[in-house]
Amino acid sequence: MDALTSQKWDRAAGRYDLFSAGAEKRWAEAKQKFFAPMRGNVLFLAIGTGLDFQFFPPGQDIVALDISPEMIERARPRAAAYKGRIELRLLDVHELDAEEAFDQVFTACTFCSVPDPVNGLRRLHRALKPGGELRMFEHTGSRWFPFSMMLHLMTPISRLSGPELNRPTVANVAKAGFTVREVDNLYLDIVKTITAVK
Amino acid sequence: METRLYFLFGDILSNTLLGAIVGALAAFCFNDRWPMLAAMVVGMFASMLLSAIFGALLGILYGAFELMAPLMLTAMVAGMALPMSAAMEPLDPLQAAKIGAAIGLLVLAGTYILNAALRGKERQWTR
Repeated sequence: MDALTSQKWDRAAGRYDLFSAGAEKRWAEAKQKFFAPMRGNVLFLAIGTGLDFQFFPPGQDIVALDISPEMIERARPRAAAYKGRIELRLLDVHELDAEEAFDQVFTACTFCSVPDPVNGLRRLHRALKPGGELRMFEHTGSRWFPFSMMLHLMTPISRLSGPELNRPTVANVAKAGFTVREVDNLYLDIVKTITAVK
Repeated sequence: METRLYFLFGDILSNTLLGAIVGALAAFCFNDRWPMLAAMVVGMFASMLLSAIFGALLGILYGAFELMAPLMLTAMVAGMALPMSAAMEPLDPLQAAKIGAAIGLLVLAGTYILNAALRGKERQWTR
């Protein structure tokens, strides 16, 4: 377990709901649409305090991971309220050793923070059944000046308390062995959904 | 373009307010004893730091990312232009605040236009 990352998110857990409130409101409709195709055995990575559970379609069987014990504790009541099954597990994605166990993997604002993103994505690739889907709702760096420069400049500050703002996540998905099927920009080319298959 | 009134209001409020504050601060903090280049660089970095704080706080209400991108740009443009101008000749704080607010609005409009162009499915992705 990456203790530094775990502690960072433990510290953030108390203020997580507050600082996510605006984004949750802004993206509620988009997230509902993003999670709608859930089916089969689903792995959901980095649950935070479980704010996204409200957008899951009912009746699903989901394994949900997080690296922070504090986040998981805060997510428990939301998992219990979900009309389906959510199994919460404390696990670092770098240590995920599941093999061909899941039909789909979902992530939401996760790979801005995973310390070794390509390795983490390779673990997800291994965890998926052949033909399985990776669906991501992520923010990434931008190709467009001046946003590209600004996101690079802000990353050393944002990294201290949370995410990195300049990650090339789509390229990382391809590097990890996935075939990228679709990239849908939701805000500029910064907030996007990514669909990839094994 | 953002069409929901709540978020449209938040986008306009945050950008005009940040632009106005940067303008007023530029009028107070910079004068003709500053070399123009130094005023521009210091103004830009200080404004961008201010935009990060602004984005984090107002992001609680309106969503950090959608505020942060235009706010950083407002900070960069107003934070360069107004301190440079103040280093050439004294600025009236109220006038500078109005110019800063106008910069905020223009930047927001530009970001909306770029967003309209970039939204949707990408054909070539690199990031």
